[in-house]
Amino acid sequence: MSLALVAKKDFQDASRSRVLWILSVLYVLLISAMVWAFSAFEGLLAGDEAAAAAQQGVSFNLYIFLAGATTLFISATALVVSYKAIAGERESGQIKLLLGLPHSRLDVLLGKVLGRTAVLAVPVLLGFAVALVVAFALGVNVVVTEYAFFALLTVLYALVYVSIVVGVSAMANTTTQATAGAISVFVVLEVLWDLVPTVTLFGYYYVTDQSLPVSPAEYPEWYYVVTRLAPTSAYNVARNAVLPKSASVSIDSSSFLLQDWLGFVVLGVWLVVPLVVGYWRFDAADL
Amino acid sequence: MAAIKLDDVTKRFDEVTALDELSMTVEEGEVFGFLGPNGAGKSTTIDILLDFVRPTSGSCTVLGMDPQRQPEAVRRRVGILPDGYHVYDRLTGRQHVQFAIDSKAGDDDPMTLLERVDIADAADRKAGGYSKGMTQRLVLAMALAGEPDLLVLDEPTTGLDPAGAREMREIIREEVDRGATVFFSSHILEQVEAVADRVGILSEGELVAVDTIDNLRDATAGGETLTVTLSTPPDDNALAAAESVDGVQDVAVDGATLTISCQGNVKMDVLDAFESAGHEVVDFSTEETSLEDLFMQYTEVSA
Repeated sequence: MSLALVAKKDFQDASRSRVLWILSVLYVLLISAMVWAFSAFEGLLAGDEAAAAAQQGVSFNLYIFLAGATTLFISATALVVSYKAIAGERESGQIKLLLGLPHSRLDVLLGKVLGRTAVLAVPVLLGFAVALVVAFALGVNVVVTEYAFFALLTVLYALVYVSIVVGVSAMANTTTQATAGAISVFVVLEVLWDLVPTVTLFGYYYVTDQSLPVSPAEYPEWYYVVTRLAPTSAYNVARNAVLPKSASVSIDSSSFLLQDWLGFVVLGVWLVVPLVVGYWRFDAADL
Repeated sequence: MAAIKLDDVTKRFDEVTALDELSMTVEEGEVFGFLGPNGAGKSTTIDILLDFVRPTSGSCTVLGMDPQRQPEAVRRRVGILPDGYHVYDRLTGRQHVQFAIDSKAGDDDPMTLLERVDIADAADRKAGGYSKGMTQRLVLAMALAGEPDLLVLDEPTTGLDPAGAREMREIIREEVDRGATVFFSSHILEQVEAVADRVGILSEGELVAVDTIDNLRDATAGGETLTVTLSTPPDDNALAAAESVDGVQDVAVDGATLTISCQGNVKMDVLDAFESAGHEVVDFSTEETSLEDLFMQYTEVSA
């Protein structure tokens, strides 16, 4: 009850700003453009090249194509929409009105996560809906249930990113700290998480004077286990668990640690842990 | 049961001691004025009562409940006008009040509350465009939602013009008549004097006095200033008679008007002295030592 009220008010506040409209236009254009681009590429890849690619273990479908764009845009917009969620209200004093009413700090934290996720989810779902019409118009072969699954999975990804950033915002005492924290999180999750294992792996081959495997599929298991722990990879892995399998690299998934459904577990951990830590700090804070 | 009870509450922020073993009780149904200069610790005390800030040591209860253990239960029965708040700029006044009503599961009509604070005509405007005074009225309307048992008002007259301050006092009286307790802080003495049953004076995190305003005035060394106008300028006899009255400290003459500083209730004795010396008293007035003097006396002595 209290949670729903806080979430509703948060969404109401945002929907009165231009953010919701800007994001709606952005996602309608982005997803529609990606569907259009896919229809163009599909034609190019239909011939010998596609067969050659498939032989190297590379398969291709609409969802892997879309995911490349959605991950980047959703992580970035989640950051912009959420980084001030708690820290900004503390700094301005809005939180005194919110917590002056019978809401717990947990209600406020979770209400913010839901409210900000809605601010992101509405434009994203609108974008998917418009892009579906575009797909039909262009004659792209789309299974509607799969497409809907992918849209929902993308909303889950948005929820995870929002909860990470709101968690950081709850840990911060000032908006400056919140900004620094959110940017750091973005750099770590979106850049370093892939970069560090890759550099480590290449460094290992270089130092031990071995040649790089011809196919990335032959990289050691730990490399994939580690990189799959980032939320964006987890989203891609989870996608493979529920939608027609497609990956840029086809790896041996007989190992337990490389099961695709673990992507959902990893997303769940990213959903919960930042909020637990954020709540622990926020609950102890003097406002 | 006490509406508010603080027991040896201490709050330190890093090296700064904001409250030093503060103990205080506010009874149910009274208007308690919490007085002190800026930085004395008034807002910190209020923040502790609402669980915005946790005490370093000591304990407190609000309506018999511990705000740290049951913050929501406390806030369900308390109406709050906090210090240093900020409204949601993009939401309207009506939406703010509706949110407060919904949060307290009340059944008030938001327009009735907005009418009480006299901003009903701005109900559907975004609160971001309100003046400081209108914003203060809006947050007061939010505090009144759900008929709270206790109103906690931090510097309620901030941003209000004199008419607004008077309306604020009227609302405080209405709420007390309804049965609520009102705890409000101020650094403006006239506000406290006009409406409070009892006053606590806070200085540098310590309570230096708690009493009714009358008793506080008696307890201080201050007295009265008596202004007397006679039909003719007084002669030396009359002056000597007036000066000899017990309690009179000083007599200044300006034509037929005399300004007399005195201690205690000696007004009638002074007037009698003039009349028996053959003068006619045309007019007289008394002025009590201002609360401001009193307040300065308390806060400076301890400073």
